[in-house]
Amino acid sequence: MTDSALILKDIKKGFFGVEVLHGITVSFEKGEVCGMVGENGAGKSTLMNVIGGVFKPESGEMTVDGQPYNPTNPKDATKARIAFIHQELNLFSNLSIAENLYIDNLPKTKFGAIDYKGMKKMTSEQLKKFSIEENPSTIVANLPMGVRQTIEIAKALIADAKVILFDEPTTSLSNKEKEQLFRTIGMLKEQGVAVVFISHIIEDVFTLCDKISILRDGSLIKTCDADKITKDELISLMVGRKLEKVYPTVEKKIGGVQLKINNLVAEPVVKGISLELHHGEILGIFGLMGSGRTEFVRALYGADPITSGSIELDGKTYYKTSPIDSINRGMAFITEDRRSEGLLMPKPVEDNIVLVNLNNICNKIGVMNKKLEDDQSNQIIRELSVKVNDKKMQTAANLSGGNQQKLVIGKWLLGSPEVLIMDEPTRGVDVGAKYEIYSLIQTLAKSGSGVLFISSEMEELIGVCDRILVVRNGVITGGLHKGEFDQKKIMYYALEEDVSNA
Amino acid sequence: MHENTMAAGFKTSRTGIFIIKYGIYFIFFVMCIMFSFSNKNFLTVSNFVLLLQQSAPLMLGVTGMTFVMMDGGIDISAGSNMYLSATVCGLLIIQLDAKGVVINNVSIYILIFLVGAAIGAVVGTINGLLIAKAKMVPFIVTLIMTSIARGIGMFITKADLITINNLGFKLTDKRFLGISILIYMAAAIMLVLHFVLRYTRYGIQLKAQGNNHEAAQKTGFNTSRNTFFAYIICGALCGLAGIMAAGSSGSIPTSFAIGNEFIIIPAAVLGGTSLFGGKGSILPGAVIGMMLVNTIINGLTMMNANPYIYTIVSGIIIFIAVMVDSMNFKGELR
Repeated sequence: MTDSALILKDIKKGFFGVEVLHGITVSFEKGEVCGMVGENGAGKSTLMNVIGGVFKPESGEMTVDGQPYNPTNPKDATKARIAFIHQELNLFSNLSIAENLYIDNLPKTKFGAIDYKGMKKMTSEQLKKFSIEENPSTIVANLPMGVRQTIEIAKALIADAKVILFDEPTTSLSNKEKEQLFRTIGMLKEQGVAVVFISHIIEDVFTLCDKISILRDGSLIKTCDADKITKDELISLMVGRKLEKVYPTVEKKIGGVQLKINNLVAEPVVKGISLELHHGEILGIFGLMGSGRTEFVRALYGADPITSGSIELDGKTYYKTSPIDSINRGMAFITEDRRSEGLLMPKPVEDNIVLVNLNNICNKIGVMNKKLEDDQSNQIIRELSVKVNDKKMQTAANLSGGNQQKLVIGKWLLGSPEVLIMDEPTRGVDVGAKYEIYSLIQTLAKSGSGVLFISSEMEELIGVCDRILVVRNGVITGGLHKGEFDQKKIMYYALEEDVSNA
Repeated sequence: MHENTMAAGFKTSRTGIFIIKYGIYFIFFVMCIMFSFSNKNFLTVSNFVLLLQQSAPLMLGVTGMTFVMMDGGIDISAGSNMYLSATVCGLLIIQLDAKGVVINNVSIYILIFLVGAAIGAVVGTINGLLIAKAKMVPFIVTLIMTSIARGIGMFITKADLITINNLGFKLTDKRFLGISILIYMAAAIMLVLHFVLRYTRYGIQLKAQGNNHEAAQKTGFNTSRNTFFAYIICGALCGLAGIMAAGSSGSIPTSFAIGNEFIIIPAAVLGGTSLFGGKGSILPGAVIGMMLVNTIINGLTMMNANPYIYTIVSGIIIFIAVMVDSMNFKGELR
């Protein structure tokens, strides 16, 4: 059945005089899941915002169910029965499930008051449909991410959405929650909803989608059936060149011990981690969500307090640390949450790049050297090929996810760190940019810096690291050297207890 | 082993949460015991009713402040707003009296209350316009309004003391079934506004946008209109509170209601309304908060405490209230 729910014709859109979308023509069919893939900056978000009424296209037309559709604000999209499930959910965490579900259209009693009783009853019915066992009056702040997402989907369905666009919906979900989401999307499909699924996780796209559209540099490269394209073909279409390798290889030497951690405890999650990091080594740390990997590196860097244990860096032992101490000792920390911790989102690109390195840019009494600032930020933009038009005007918030991540890495590279700690540096980053980030890590290691690379993607750890340690439950449960890497073994270390318990 | 350590961590955080949540009530309880030992009149029904009566005007202020704070805003101009509306009403009473109108009359009283609320609403409208439409920071706007409103009040009264109870505007002796009309007024208005906050679309939208303005905009709320009305409601209630307080004290000196915002805001916070927005209630929140503050002041008075102690005690109360609010906030997901 091919019955188009939403058709875009020759949509063009530009910013700061630069065209970002070069005439996109695509249609989304009822009861079909269409994957939308593309590198960061390919124009996916812009396209979504055009559909959502946030941006006005410069030319082109859209039709919903055959009717012309010219949204000027997000409300128009809702009226046209188009719903968005964003990565950052748009729920009100202080309200109950019921209030969130019906906030657009609150049921009233005959006296004009809000009908809480009826609302709760309707909510229970909705929750049953999605097999969620929660009380309708539960405050959303107390719910896990997966349930919140389902509630947002339920909200879209209550508004009778005919087109639902998912923007990176799986990044914050556990595997179990992901499966639940896929089942829900299957259900939407059966109900004749047109689903658009935007994701960087190619596996998910292949599992879920009937059709895949590939965007590159603001143009729609190809739309094809999901079973008629291979993963390799898809990736090479996305990046526009054939990717010989997903992971770069660099010849490098691993030196002596640089960083030694002795039984580091950070309550309540980290329960005693010891490890040694050598000069020029890329040490992977794998762990599932909640294993304590992030808490461990945060404590190591000084972002969270250390309960006991010590850190030995280049022969000197420290029992206490703070971010400033760590920076002065030549450590750099790339946080997993770049939006709130990694960047000053409303500040220009240039300011963000020089932020960590202000000491070197200022003279003795603290006056900035504008020329040096300019040179250094240019250097980073060039070296990391950050896509930016005007570094003094464009804010970090205006960059795509991958470019934002490059910025976070770039600002630390400027200080040429001795120890680089990276927490999920490739999260929400596309294949092309991932390769560049891996190369950066390798180059840095080659120059003698030690790298701690935390990731929940096992494949990338295997591809990039010299050694992998597995964290579970706040302690290290296993370690493997390059050459003995084995996905099953790593997973076993990460899960052991759960497996034996089950 | 895994289970045990997890449980320990959980428990300690639970105790922490418990102390944060109920610590203030514990302090309140201890103070009540202390007061009732030092003065046997403290724990009596008549003292309680008197306390309610004394709290009634400011309770309305707290009610208004709850709306503003629900949206994540603040209104520092509450006290000056009270002063301005009291002076305007005071001058009106003097004018009416000079024309030979008998003030001690129900319709005149209603007129005066309406004028008081209207003056407050005007101040609230200006605050609301600057904050909601001109997107200025609430703290700054209302801080400026503090000096402007008090300045206007002093200008129109030539900074004279205005006495109104001898002209027939006296609220303390107006009773129905032995209870002051101040209590009825406060109760009726708070009931209505409780309904607005809890059972209308406006109330829920205000609560929602106080939690997440961005999402509220995306959902299609008229967030600036909602904010605007919150300041008008707060202004009108402060205006009404002003004339009610003047009617009970009988006169309006230039220091009238000075610093009342620092009773109203902590009272709201003590009642569970968050300075960060998105959380709070009128019933019981505003009532509990205001009663907590006034009980302590009342108790200190009965103990014949040194008047300078009051400001120290109220400072400590504000400090604790805000600290508890911040600690609560950190634990919350947004």
